[in-house]
Amino acid sequence: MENAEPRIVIFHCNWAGRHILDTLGRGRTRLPGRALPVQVSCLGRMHPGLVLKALEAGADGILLLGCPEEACRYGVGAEKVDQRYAEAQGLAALLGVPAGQVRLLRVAPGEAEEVLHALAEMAAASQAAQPQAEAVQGGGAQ
Amino acid sequence: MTSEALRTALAETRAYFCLSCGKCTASCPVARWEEGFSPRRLVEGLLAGEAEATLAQDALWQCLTCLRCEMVCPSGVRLGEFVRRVRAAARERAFAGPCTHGGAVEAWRRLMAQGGRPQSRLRWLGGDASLQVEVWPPQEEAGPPAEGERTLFFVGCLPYYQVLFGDLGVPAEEMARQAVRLLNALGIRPVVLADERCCGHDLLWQGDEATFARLLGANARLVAEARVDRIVTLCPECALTLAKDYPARLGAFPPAVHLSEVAAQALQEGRLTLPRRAQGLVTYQDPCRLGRHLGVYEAPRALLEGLGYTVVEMAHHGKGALCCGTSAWVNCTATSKAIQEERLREAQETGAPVLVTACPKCQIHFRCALAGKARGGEPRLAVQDWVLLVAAALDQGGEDA
Repeated sequence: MENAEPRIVIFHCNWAGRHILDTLGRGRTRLPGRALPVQVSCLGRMHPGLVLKALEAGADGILLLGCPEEACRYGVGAEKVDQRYAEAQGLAALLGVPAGQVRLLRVAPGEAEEVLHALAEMAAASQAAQPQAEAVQGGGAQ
Repeated sequence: MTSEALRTALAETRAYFCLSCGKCTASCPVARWEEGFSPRRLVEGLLAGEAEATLAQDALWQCLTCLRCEMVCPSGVRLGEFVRRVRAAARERAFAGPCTHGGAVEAWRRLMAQGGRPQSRLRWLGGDASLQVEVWPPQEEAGPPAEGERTLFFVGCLPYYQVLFGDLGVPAEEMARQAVRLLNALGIRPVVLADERCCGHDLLWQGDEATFARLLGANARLVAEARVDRIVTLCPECALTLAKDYPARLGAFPPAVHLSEVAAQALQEGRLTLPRRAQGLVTYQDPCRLGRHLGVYEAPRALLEGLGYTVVEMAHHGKGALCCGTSAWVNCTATSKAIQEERLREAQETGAPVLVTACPKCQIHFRCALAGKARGGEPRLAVQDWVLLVAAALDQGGEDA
């Protein structure tokens, strides 16, 4: 394995999600695992097909990072994401993806710690599921 | 120039015999709404040596492969198979039809073909101890292996459709459970596969031969390990694929049939007793795969009549039935919607309050079209799978007058 670090795809929105990743980037914070951010305007756009395609491409975990319900810039996004997240989780579970490896996190711009915590948990769970993978720096944030 | 694969497709599907009579166009459900679309033109394009232009056109993906044209073609051209093969050639040149549902359906099939993680797909059994099944490979609390003839219940993508189309009210998991109850009532304790893969029907008809081959390989291995003698499905597309395409590629494969055929035969032979009561009117949608592809028209009707329903036919039925508007999850367009609405109008004109189908996808598409109509304030029509009507009768038990 060239890179055995767990691959976590982060689908994040233009707003709170992007703000947090920007903050982490400016602080040179090392993200747990190998985080691959993908920006969408709003998580309401997150059809389960996108989650499955990321899994197909080899993602170990998927984190959907968006705004708190009351703060959706588009009004209906938060409502849409509930249904689509439930579908994505349901399909991923049928496909044998462990619970917790497809996650939705609604965060305010200042809540970067929560994001690091979620990523650390997901990276640790992926590594636990692949015992033969080369031991890499994992787990704890900062 | 026309490649070898396309030349073979023209020869083996009898497309060289096309007389350009236009009967296929006149019978085509898509051509009624899509100006300029014609099955014949696809053939013409290749015969004229315009392979690249033919493979690049959208029309290739508009065909429903519903075989309505094959019923009237005087030259016996196998237009469905022709389109399938041309799609495979188009896909090799990186052409593909417009995807639907965000590509989710194709993605889960490709993930199943990868086979990296074992699926967790038996939740539909719901811990219901009254359902008699043998899970393969054996689970912890497995009962004894099924005796005698071993029947596989091939569940298909129903658990997945429950997740993706549950909001339309499609009772996919319930259909799977009731199929098992019906099999149990027939004295059959079916095998179900814990890691069953999609049969590959949709990918095959989208021209994705490579992924189809991987799904076929995985299912063939599981079927062999589980020592299955025959296969029963609730989905006509699984039935078609397992009954025709698997044996054609594998040489030998257990026979596969649609559950309605098994149940109708048992009813005829007196092994299935249904409480026959006056139940009112229903109308029946012949799924293109069950009807024209497999030639099963009577079995679902016999079961409905056995329950005491009066089956009233739509203007187009049997060999002439109209498709539900989309097939193989490719190309859901305004034309698909127009076909669905036309079909729903025909159903309403019969006066029956229930449109019964034998295909989960017909049900999904009609429920979707009805959800749109309901928003427009039009009257509602119920859409239901035949197996739930039969199961409801099993609940009532006994035999009435």
